[in-house]
Amino acid sequence: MNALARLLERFLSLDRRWIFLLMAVCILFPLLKPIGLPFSTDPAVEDLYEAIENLRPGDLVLISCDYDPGSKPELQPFTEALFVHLFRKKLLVVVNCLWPAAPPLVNEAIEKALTRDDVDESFYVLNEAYVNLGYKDGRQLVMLGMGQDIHETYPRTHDGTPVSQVPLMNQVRRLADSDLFVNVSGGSPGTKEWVEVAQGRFGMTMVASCTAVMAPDNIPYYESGQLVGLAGGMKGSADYESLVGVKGTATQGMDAQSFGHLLIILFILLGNVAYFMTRKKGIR
Amino acid sequence: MLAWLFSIQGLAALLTCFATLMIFSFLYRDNPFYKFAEHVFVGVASGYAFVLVWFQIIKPNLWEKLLVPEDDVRQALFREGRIAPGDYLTDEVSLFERLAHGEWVYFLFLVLGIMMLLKVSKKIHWISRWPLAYVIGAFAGIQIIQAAQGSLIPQLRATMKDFTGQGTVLQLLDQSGRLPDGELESRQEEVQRMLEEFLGDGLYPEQREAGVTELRADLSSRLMQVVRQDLYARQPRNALRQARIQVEALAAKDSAMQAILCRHWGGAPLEWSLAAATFGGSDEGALLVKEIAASGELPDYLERAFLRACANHVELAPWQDRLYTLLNRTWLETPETRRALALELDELFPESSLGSVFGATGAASLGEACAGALARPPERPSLTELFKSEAFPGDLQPDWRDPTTHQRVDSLLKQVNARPAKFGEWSVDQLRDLESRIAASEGADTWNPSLAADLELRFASLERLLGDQPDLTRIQRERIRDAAWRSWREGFLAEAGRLRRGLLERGLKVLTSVDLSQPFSEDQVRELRRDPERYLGGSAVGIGRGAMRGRMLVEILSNLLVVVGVCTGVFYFFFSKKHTGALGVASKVGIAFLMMSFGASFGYTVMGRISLAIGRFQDLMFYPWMAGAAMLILIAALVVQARKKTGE
Repeated sequence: MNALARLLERFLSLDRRWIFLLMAVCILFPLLKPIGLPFSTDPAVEDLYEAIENLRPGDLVLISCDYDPGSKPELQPFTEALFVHLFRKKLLVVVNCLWPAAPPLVNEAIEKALTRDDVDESFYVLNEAYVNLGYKDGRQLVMLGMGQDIHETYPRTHDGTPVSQVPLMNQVRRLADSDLFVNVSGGSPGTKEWVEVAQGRFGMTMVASCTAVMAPDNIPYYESGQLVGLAGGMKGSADYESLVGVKGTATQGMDAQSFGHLLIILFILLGNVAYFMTRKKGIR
Repeated sequence: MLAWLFSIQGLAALLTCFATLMIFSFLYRDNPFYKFAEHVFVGVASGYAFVLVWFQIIKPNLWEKLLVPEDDVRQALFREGRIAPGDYLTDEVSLFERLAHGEWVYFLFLVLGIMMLLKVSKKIHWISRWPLAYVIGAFAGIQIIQAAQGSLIPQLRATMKDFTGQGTVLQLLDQSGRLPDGELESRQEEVQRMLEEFLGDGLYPEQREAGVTELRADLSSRLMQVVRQDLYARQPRNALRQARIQVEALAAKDSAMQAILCRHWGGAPLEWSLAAATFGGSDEGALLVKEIAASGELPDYLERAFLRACANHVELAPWQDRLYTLLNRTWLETPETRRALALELDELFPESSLGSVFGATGAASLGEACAGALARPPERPSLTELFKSEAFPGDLQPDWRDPTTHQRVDSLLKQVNARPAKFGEWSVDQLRDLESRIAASEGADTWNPSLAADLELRFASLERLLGDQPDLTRIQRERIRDAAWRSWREGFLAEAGRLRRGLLERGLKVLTSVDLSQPFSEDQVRELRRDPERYLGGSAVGIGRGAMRGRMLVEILSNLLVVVGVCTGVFYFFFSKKHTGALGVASKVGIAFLMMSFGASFGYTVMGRISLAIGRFQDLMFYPWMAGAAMLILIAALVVQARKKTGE
């Protein structure tokens, strides 16, 4: 028993770098050798998927991509699957960004979606079937402005074309003109601000994808019906990928995520056992 | 390889790998490589932010408002008639002109911005409080409305739940309907009878039973989905919409029904069997075959099934195009070609069930099954001709490049729709109106009301019509095609799907007594409130009294937990009285709740951080060899650096 206690004591004083190394191994191993652990889709993500699935070809979806490369692992897979989903259904898409580093990520996702066989690339001509309005500074003021007049808020698109010369923009003058609003959010301004400033005031049907850290803050909006669907973190993105039928980086990362969580659970359990046992024995 | 390494992509990859690993090296310990990467990152980020702030914020929002760009000034001067057209591009614009065209109110904001910068001064730093007060005031004004309108009120509304759990019961009953005890069984029997009729005599009893059981299970699960959506009603309006969509999906698309029939119809390739099951075994089915044959167009669900069959069954794949053509159109041209091609099909696939696809109709082959039912509707003018004859009587070749032609078309559409509409923006309703108007002009008796026949001719006409419209954008053309397609096929599909939809709707209604379009009356709700459990036994969704009591109990416990958690959490933060006695217990419970909620949030945070690590590793694995080499070099450098440090 003393040997066990000593072992546990050593465990408590374990150099944290071993934990880092173990975590790296736990993440790297499933990435190199995928196992394909099963995962079930979250009802909130299913609702998000359904909200898009219920749209008809030609309906207009407005997307606000508010994230940067820091949240790319969690949100870019969602954005990519989102565009595939929208393009497959021949929906018209208008994208704007409230984060400066987001427009290149949006373009990357769009280009990737357009290379797929199940997407009619000829339909999706820039500024005719989809528009990237680009970045605009002003946080909530931009939201308010878009609620009143998008053309005034964004006089030009990301590629410099005057909005008045974009045929697609004739169909959408304000936020309420969209059939669905999607927010991909990596922080502030993001889902919280869109819900509080624009969703109720302008009567939008809104869904959101956010980072895992933000998910607890946004769940109440989903529960209250202000968000019709919600995808949180890489798991939410993986759920959405599986619903759309796209095997992206989020799905590939689920094994690593599970292994990482298992390791943390294991350390929490071991740490607690060690702590209580050594305390009982009066070693520490 | 070497060339790639020295290309922009190669250098970017090299930089990515080294920079990522340098940052990760901090996990080992603080070291010069980490510091280097950190400083580079901070420097680059600062530079990027400065450029961004200048070009995205200050320049367009302040600088160019005060000192207007030359081009804008030229345009303004041109509009004012102060620049001649020839001098428009060459005329110099003075600084004074640029300032004179500026908006001077922005000078105030420039001053406020400069005042903000005075914070660095030790003597007059107090001046920076003024602009700061302005910013905080404006922001608070926005935040107050935002918080009240967007968060406080909707969240309060969402927490006003029925504490007793009765609401849950009522919601469930609202959706599941009320059935007296024992009636569910009789209804299920009725559904079984209907299904047996539908399936015909082609099934073995076991297959039939399995099919019916699965259909019942499927109906129940779909209904449960509907009920669940409303039970957790986050947005009742949306739930109702979802419910309607579910029912519509069940009745119209009917994929589950297809799957069930596919699985339980033996012998043939499954999707072909689907066709047999869909059409065979009844007079109604035979009628359906006739209608489909007459239309020359497969219904879309059958088309999907066909394509799936070709993808799944190797023996069909090489023949996909040919089969599709045969099935779709070609073999319907004349009775001779129909028969010949049907025989060809039978020869091609002697072992398959093509014969049996329509065999249930009593025909020996595919062609025979449809023979006699393929009389095309009488020839009539194309849509283009009809349209033109109405819009331009006596002039069947209008000049579409002539603007007045478009005006005449617009004017006609205005008459047709009694509302302004441009030619390029036809909606389905407008098309339908136009069709009916044309139909009326030709005489309703000779017009096929289902609009099913002659689709090919219609599309050819439409294409010609569109070809004459150079001004239409591609999107408008797509929309017109889409609208026309939806409009034209709608009638046919409605007719074709009527029988099966009717059956499924009846089945759903019989099985579950759900009529989503008819909510309970006030009397019924009062009755339900009075004695909800009385109606639970017969609930069609299989939730008995016990299960419902359990559900109510869970709901009540859940609500209780929320109330206890909120109250005790608030007690914990009440510091005016010492936390002893009852308050002490309450605050301890409160801190437990808080810890649980923080734990849950922390769980999400951990998930997020691991996701970020996964993302970085995925990035590195994009260049595995380079990442490996970079890692080895970095480890070696760290070892050397550590030894050097120890030596010192």
